[in-house]
Amino acid sequence: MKPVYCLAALPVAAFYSGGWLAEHVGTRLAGLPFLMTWNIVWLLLTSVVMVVMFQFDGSRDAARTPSAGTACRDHDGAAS
Amino acid sequence: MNAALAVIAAFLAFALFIGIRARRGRTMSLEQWAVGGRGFGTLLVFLLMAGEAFSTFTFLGASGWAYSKGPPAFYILAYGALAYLLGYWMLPAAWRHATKHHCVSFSDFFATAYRSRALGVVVSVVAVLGMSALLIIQLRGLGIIVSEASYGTIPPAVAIWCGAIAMVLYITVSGIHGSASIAIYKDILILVIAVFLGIYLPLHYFGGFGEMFDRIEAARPGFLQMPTNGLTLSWYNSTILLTSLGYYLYPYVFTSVYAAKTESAVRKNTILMPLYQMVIAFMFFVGFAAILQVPGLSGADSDLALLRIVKQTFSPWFVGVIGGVGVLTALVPGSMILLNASTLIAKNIYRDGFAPQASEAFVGKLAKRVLPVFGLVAVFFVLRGGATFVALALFASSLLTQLFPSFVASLLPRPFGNKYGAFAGIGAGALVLLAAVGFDVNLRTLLPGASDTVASINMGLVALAVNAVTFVAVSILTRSRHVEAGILRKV
Repeated sequence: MKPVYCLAALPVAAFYSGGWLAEHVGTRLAGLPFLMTWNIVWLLLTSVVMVVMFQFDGSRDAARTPSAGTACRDHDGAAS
Repeated sequence: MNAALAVIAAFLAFALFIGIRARRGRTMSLEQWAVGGRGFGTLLVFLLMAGEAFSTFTFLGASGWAYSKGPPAFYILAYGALAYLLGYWMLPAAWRHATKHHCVSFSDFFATAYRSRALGVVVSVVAVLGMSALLIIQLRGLGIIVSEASYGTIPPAVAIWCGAIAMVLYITVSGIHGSASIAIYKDILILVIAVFLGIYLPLHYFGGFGEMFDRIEAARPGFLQMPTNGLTLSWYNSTILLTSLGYYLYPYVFTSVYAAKTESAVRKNTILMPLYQMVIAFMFFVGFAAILQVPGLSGADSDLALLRIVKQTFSPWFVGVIGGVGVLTALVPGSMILLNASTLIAKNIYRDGFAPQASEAFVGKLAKRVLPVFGLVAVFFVLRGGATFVALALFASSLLTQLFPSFVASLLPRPFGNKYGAFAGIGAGALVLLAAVGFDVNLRTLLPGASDTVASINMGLVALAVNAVTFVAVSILTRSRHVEAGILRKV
């Protein structure tokens, strides 16, 4: 596994702690229900996390050079 | 004829025109018809997936949930994001497999991954039933939207007929290209409408978002907190897990992946989707605004929250625009369901199950014949009720999530499992679901002494756990039997 993929744990941890935090930290955040603000912010950060992974996990380069893409495809993970 | 009615009719006519025109310059082979010849770029795949994922549910359901249930509704924001995160790895792998094996339907994937036509047939039957439920929901939503937005001038039945006929026409002619071209307009429109309503209504009625929530809190103390029974925090967390795992296992969402030209088109799509999910947050604001403005909607009527507050606020022509956009939110997923269900029936149930010698051209023709019939059956069940069938279909749609263990195992870098495990796992999950739905078994009845935290865990997740354990156990057992047989022969 590529180290950059560890970032994916952040949104998972965030979405699962949201409900608990809302009960223990406060019911409102930035004027909205805590959980709503929390989930909206993490929705956006989930995209950011994926952009970072896309930049650094090599799939961006594979997309640019078609030959590399084909090479990847030969080693596909799907059962075949 | 009122202004709203004219605007809604114009939307329907426009959709039909765009949908039929999408065929231009293409010869429709089965592959072209069903998966667009696998030539769609990032933007089109995005629009298509967004088009299916954001259906009448986004329009009526999200606002209705915020209106009637409050914070538990926020699970929708969470599960979407986690599903896309999972999709970052899952979808490119699924795309590679589908492209390599020329899959055009949902169950082609399972049939080729597990080298089992029987598994393909079983998955197809479940998928077709599950999609019937979803089509019925879309058509019912379409009926509600049009009849409300037309101020009762058009009865739901007429709207449902018109909508279903339009879908059948453009999908038969243009296939997936028809859905994709309408999805472009629909996605832009729903984005604009949602952002506008979500900002305008709280400002107009309450002067601000914080003020709106202050007044809700004052009028209904405790409503903005997670309930302590029923839809509790553990329901919330377990439902996020269940729905995010099952997200891509709806056949018509899954097969949009096939239409992509490249693997990175699929991956970029998963990056963009959480941003589009913001639409739902704005729909929540509409639902919250409606709590104090159009009080008293309960049960299924809470789905009317959006339309009621819109009618109370705006002039008829604008109500018509919202009704028209509502029609598009039903047409795009509805037509994708029709397309996928008919491909499944023709290719995976008829040919794989009964007539392996049938030619590709014949299967393509058959799919187009099955499509209107399937549409007609759905309209029949929407209008006539048919509670047993609808219950069966809804059961099948929750069963689709049970495909997750065998699906994800086939995508692993070192694929795990076999068809015996897949059959056993899906069967075990189905039994648990059947007990839960049919005999009202849940963790509260199974474990009478359990705390609320345990008792309110979603039963679907329990079924999924039983399924996963069975899948792994049976796959290992059936594999070791082969090994033993080999050793015995050697001796």
